[in-house]
Amino acid sequence: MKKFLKNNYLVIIIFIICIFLGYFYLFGEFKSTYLNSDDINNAFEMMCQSDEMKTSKECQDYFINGPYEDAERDVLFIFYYLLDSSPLRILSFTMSFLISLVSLKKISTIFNNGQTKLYLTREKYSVFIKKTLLNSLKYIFLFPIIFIILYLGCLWLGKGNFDVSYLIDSSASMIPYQYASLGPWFIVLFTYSLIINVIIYILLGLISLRIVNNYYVSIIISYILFLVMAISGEIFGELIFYECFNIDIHNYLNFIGIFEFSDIPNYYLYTGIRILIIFILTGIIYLLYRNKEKLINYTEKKWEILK
Amino acid sequence: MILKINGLVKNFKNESVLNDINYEFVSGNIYGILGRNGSGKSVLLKIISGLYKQDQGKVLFDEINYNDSNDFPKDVGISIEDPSFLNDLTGFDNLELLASIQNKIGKDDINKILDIVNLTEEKDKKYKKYSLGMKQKLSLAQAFMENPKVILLDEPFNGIDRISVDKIKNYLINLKKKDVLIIITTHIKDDIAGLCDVLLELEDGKIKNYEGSKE
Repeated sequence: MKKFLKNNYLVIIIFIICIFLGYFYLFGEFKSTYLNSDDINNAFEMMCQSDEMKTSKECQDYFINGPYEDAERDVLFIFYYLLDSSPLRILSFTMSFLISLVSLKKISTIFNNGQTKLYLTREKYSVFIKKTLLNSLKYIFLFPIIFIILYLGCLWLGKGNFDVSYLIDSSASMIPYQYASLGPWFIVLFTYSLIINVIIYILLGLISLRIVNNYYVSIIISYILFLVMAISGEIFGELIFYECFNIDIHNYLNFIGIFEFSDIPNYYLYTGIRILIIFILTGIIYLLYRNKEKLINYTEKKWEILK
Repeated sequence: MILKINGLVKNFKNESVLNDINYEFVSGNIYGILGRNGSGKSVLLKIISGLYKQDQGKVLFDEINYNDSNDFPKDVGISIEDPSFLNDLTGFDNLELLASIQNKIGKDDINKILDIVNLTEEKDKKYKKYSLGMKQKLSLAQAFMENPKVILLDEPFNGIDRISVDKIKNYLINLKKKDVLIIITTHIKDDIAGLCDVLLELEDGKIKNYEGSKE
């Protein structure tokens, strides 16, 4: 147990913070703002006590109809607000950083102390490299699990209601009808797209670790690579595809707004682009890690820049 | 076991490090390879153990060539420059972690080998608290522990106390009697004097029989 906690303390900290912030928002700010009617009833009580306001239309309506009842919102409306208005919204552009932080830790330790040689006199290079790289890929489930747990909170608050008419009517919804109409199955689609994005972040981290053999610097470089990819997406979407070919795929190439599903009517194109990127990044990783001798040389020297 | 090296060439950029090395190492012998710093001793051991790839030539273990397929030669124990282990694990745990890769030995075998290199008392200390000599002993322990048929040792006695050196040398002599092939490289002849059956010299990228001191 102690060993597990020691090896996974970063994952545990991120997990606890995200769950705490998510549930704190859902059962605090969201509930009091969008579900409870206590605040509005109290305001009417105060306002309608004065002789001046007692005869107003609002107060007369309030006296006739009685206090407002608690509002009901559907599960996806609540989930949408969690993604858009809670402190967790910053994950859309910090998730890449956090994923590198956890996924590069162990592999960086192996690469950084020259121990690679001892492994490679005991197992085939292909086995070693597959095992080591796959070790970092196990973190693809961290954020999907966090969001599934938060989704359960939304399910509780929304009392299992998937009547999304209110969500669709609300302005600027991040979840358009075609996805919202999936009802409870929306979380499957959301989790799938989240996993695809997280795989991209991990692959960027593995590339950066082969650029510089230092844990902290490689995290920074992987975040820079993420920003470069996001900016390139903007440039390709806006300047090349739209301006030159009049094809509007700008939102499909938005790598920062990963929680936004508005303006992406074609989910297959959205995931297809990302899967293509995964293939390209995997190819780059293959080229960077295929040479056993270069990797051994690289791991023997701290702060070695790609060679 | 016969380890045959045929026409081995290794260059780094435009610098020739090993130049047409030919030699046949036979099990049941201890070979010492002398050479000044930077003469290519470590590179030679790295090529033999499959860590580096030669530019030309072949390394054959009983006629089997492992080097062309990024594979590693089976039953080879190696202690090579800059021994490194995980800082936060104890010496014992580090060995156990490495042993778990091939799963050939258990805790008793690890304890036995720690005793041979005189590291039993410090086996539960964290690696980061080890002195240079203790680190070197741990590196030797991992090279010996899985009962390899070939042992490659690069400057094995660096920083190790005299009593432990004598104990390790006796162990190597016992292994030789059990038909193990042992190759030791060093730049200090006194380190291996009296231990080796054959003394070789690596100079200008070539290997030849040692002909005595030139100083």
